[in-house]
Amino acid sequence: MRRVIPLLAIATLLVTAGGCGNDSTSGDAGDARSKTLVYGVNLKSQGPWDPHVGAVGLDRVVNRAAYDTLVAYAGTDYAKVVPDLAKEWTVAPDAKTFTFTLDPAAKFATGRTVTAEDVRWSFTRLKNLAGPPSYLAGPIESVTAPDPATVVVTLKSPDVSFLRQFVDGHFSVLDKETATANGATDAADAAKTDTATNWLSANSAGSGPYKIESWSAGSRLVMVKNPNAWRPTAFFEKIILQDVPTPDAQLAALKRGEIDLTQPLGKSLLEPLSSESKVQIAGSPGLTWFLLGMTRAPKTDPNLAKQQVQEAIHLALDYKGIGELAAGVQQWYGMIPPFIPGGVTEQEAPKQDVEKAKELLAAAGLSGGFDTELCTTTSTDHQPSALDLAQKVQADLKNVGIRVKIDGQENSAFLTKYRAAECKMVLTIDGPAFPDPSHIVPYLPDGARALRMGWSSENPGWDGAGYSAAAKEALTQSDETRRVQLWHDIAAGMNTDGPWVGLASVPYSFAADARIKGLDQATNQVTLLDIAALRRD
Amino acid sequence: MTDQVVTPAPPDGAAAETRRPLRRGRRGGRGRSITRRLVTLPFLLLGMTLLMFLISRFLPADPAVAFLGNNGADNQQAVDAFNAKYGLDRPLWEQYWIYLDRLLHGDLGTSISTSRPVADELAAAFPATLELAVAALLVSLLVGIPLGVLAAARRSSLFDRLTGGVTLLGVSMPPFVLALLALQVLYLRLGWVAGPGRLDPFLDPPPTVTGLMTVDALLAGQPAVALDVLHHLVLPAVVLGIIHGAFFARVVRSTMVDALRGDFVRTARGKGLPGRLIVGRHAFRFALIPTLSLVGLTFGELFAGAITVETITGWPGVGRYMYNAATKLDFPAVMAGTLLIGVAYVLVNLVVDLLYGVADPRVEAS
Repeated sequence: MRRVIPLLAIATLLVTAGGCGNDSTSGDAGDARSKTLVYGVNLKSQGPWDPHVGAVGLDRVVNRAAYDTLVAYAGTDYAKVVPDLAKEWTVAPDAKTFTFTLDPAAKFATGRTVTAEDVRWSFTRLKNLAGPPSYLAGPIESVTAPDPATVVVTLKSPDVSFLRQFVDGHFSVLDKETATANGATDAADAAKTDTATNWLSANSAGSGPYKIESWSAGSRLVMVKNPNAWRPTAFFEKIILQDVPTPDAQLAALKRGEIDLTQPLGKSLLEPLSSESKVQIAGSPGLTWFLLGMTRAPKTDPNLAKQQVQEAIHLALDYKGIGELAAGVQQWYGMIPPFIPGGVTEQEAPKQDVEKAKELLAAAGLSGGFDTELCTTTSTDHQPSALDLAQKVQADLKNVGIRVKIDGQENSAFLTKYRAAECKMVLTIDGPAFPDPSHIVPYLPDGARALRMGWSSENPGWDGAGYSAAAKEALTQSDETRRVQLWHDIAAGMNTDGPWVGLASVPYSFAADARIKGLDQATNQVTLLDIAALRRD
Repeated sequence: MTDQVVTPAPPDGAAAETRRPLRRGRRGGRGRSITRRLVTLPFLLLGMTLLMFLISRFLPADPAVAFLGNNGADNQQAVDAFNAKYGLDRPLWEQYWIYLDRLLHGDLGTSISTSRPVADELAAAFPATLELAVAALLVSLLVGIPLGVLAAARRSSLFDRLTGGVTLLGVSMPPFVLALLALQVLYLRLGWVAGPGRLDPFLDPPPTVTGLMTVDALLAGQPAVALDVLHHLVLPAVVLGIIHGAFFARVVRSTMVDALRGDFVRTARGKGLPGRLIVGRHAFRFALIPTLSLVGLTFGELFAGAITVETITGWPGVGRYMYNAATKLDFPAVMAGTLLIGVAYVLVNLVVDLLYGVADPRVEAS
């Protein structure tokens, strides 16, 4: 029994430790706490923090804190692009050449001035790394730096909206000198030879208000204030992204003051907090959306590829019911959401008409209905889940005689099948890279998404040619009003018999300590959260 | 695994139904047994790598899509670069050969999801799992042994029946259910234990020496940090400890009941020794021997079975690392983690078998 005594001693220590938590709220520790922002998130899938590699979600927050881009959005005003590293810019009439003039005050955390060569090198690295966000730089033909303050970006084909791509944190500008000293390269074979991603996950080489101090994968990221920040000083001295895996635990930790912010949570979780005086709910409309697609390829599904059938499906869906599937679901009225320029309004939204849908099916020779299949993901990262929406679509279509078999698979397996153009119908979760109406380009004939549904210039169907022509004009249209209108008309037109149905999105809502101020201006769908804009009362 | 719990005969004979023939090998039998195990270990690990490799390659999902995402995988250059980087563009046998070649040179590969060397990531995660496994084992022994001993000493009493019911519940309950319940009640409702993670966000981790944060904190002269780590350790350790403690309790009770029927106990009673002494000194010693074998099995299981508990409680160990990796089809990370757990399991049990032979020389390692 004597051997048990040491065990008992350790156990006693273990148990008493439960009552001996660190008292970090007194004196200097209290001051340090007030100047530290703790962001409780599930770090499961987060990192690496190399802005040219990471593309999972929170990297946008980290990119915004540690790096700068050429241009930015002011809060959620997606209609207007404002200066960041570039103090001014011009777009050539050919809609292919963008010329930026850098702000001479811009400096990296090392104290070096940001130069055009840093921008050229960064954009080239983004493209050549061939990482998850490299596709963003795909349309770029060349980046040149004719002088230290001027950057010229030339696209392969016209696209005036590409200016808004430069808001994206993956177009962050790195300090070339620091990054190359730690293994980074912009060489054509950077995918093989660049070794800096590991270093850039535990450090940073940017000009943002913060710099990365340490990263413990899946556990904790610490950022500290950049001593050489060139923009107004941020309030918080230290930012900690702390792994708190479950929403319940995040809310409990928030109420106890252990964390200051939660990650985006479902409205059903957030609503009970509305009466809590110590907690506030913040966020912005979500761009992560649920989308229904129908094949246009007769060989994939000869019934589904008919115009009357696709029109019937638009009419068969219970849009109101879809919007009520879970608290907080924001119904989209088309392929462009109402909260960005060119968005389809509620008045233009399709309305359910089951009888008309049945008539259309009968006109297509399918009065007895038909069998088809819908692919979707079983991911439960969002509430409602894609599977919830798929089941709703299945029920709605059953009312008009279309018998849908749902093929739900783990997300990667689902994407593999979807990308191989093997789905007759698809219910997917998507996320445009930036909030501009031109985000529907991939869904138009020959676009990457459209090709998966067999919609191409070779198989444009009854409407593809018209949409393609309108899109071509929109991409080169320098008149902003006209440009937005063109995109709007395409999206509104697709509500009738297009192969896509924009269903709904989930708001980017989270809970925060009530003393945290500035959240309204700090949240948008590109950077998600601009931590430097926050302060604590 | 070759491990099995061997119940030795009581020193002077117990109930006939509890007797099992002792395995008395020839002189040096234990040594040969250990040698045999060490020789078969590489083949076991080879089989494990092959199985994991084949599973990873035959899943109906494309790792390039999992890594690059729906948008990123539209970039064929990125897909090609990814496949080339991880050798996925080569024949299957060649991929496996390259994997083995690298493995033999100590290279566990690069994580697909984090772009960091898997060896570095596992080296950071393993001490956390080790710390948790040790703590959970302590809890399980502290819970299981006293319960088992007392239940056996008061056989057929209300306490015995209650213990039987509770321990049955403990061994039957899936770890994730208990973990969720404990998180809800002990942390969210009552606030008795620290929440997810290994350390309070406002405390800086101690300099890494052993990777065991409690030890490193003490080495760095930071007792407050060590206590905070212990505070965070309570939740996952209690969850795992209760599950395995219930198992210990049932085995100890069963062995103790056998022992208490034994002639040596009857003799002790006849000599007028106090009941407490008979139970605590004579019968308990007898019960400890099979328990030692169980400790080894349990320790190995704590490595392998901590995945759900680490994930739910946010303990940044190998289990959570592997869960994260699996959800992103990060094959190099999953394969290396599995290998690590397999090696740890085998080695721990080998050590326990050695100790078992030392503890009771009559019993040769089987």
